[in-house]
Amino acid sequence: MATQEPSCWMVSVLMRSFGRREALITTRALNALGAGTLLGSWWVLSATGSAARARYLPAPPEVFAALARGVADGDILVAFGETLHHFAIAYASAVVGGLTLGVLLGRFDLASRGLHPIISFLRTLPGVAVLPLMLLIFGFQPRAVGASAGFAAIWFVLLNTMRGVRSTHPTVVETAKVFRVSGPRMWLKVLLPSAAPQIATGLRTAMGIALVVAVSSEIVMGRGGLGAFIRRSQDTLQPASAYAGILLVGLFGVVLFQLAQLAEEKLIPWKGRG
Amino acid sequence: MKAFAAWHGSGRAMAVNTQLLRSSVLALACTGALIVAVESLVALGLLDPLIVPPPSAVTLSFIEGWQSGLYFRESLITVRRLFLGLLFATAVGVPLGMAMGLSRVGRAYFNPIVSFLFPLPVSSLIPIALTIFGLADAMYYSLVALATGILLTIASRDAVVNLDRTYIETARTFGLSRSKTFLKVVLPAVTPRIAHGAYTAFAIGVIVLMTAEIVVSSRGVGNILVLARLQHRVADMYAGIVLIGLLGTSLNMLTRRGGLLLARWESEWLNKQW
Repeated sequence: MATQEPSCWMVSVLMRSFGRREALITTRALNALGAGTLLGSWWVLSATGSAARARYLPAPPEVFAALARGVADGDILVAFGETLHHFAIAYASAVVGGLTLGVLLGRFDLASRGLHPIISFLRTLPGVAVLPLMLLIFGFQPRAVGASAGFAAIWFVLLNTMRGVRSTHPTVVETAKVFRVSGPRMWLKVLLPSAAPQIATGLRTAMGIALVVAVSSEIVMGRGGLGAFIRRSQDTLQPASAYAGILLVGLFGVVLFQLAQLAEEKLIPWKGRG
Repeated sequence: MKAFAAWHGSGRAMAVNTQLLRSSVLALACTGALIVAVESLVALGLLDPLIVPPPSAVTLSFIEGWQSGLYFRESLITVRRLFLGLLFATAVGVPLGMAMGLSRVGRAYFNPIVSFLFPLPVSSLIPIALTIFGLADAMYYSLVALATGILLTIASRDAVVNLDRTYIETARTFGLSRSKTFLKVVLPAVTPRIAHGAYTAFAIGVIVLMTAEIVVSSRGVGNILVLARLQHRVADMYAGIVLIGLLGTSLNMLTRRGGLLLARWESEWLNKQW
């Protein structure tokens, strides 16, 4: 990093002496410089190292070649499909279970107070720690991975739904009552829309957690999915393939996050206004 | 007047206390009922003890784990790994994040690096960390440091960027020097937010560490779980999960207290019940 200092200093001088447009251009240039430093130092380190270093730091082109190879012979795609399967089980169960329980606990104060210690204990358990339990219950099945990832994710949906349902302003509820709104209509038109932004936050967080825990569980189990693919590649001295797997997991996470953000903007445009 | 205030205050405190007491009794009763239900279901033969052991057996195993000194020894190892990782992450992440927040050049330069590393699931790097460090403790705390360091960098950057400009303008009006402004105005204003970031980062660090300990299983709390599973000691496995949960809960409480101490002038985020 120290070698970059003079150019940074120069750019800062330039930024002070030019206008806004130039400042934008220098920001872009600095962005490129930062990304270049990351990629460059990776490349230089992997090219100059010993054979031992090549085992954990393959050169960038090798990683992309491994990714292309994996896609061509379908290896990495199969692993990706398995991860997708695990993630789908986990997320679906977390959403269904979390929303149901969250609404119930949000409505019935007594139940939520009674279950508080149990929930806050279960919530601190890392998803991977319950994987042995799930393996015991479900056997070496995709369901075991899905269940441990779902277990890790469900609390984010549950607690955010509960808080969201509770946060509806009493005046709003009273007003709706004056207009004789009740029962399912009250839920659909008043309580859920006002809880929606908070629920969306929970759903988005749960998404990331479900993915991370699914991949971690695959690493632990060593069978099925990108996690197992990464571990196997590293164990069989194919670090380029391992990096390709990691890259794919990261990319998938970014895509999921963007999709969630898009869905949020389309479905609940009132989020973030109040 | 004073007497009235005291009476009023104590009355309010008492009301809060009785409510707290009632909630605790309810929670205790619920937890107790659950334990009794599981115990009797196992005794009646409705639950397979090889999948769900009776709570009494788990309790005995838990007590034995403490008496033999195993739990204490392994917990100490896990906590040390966690704190070393977090220490390193704080030492690098907080200054880096604040530098990014203060200087536009720094932000433009480091942003691509941070936003590349942020979505990377750190637990998928476990196989690679294992190749680099072997079974040394450095493997564990480097993973914790990476996972928490990125979160701390982002939290520190955003804390500085979102700082109310009026604070700095006011400081300038009073003629405070740059270093004094930083020490007396910026630092106290951003500390609560960074503490909040550290609190979140800590939870993620626990998850990453647990995953690493379960995958690699060289000492630590995660190892207790792995050994119990491999030797089909089901009650010991459940006891290990309880230990992990209790460790997580107490560490969580500890960081919450620490955060409260650091953020005592802006403690809204800590006042949320759950």
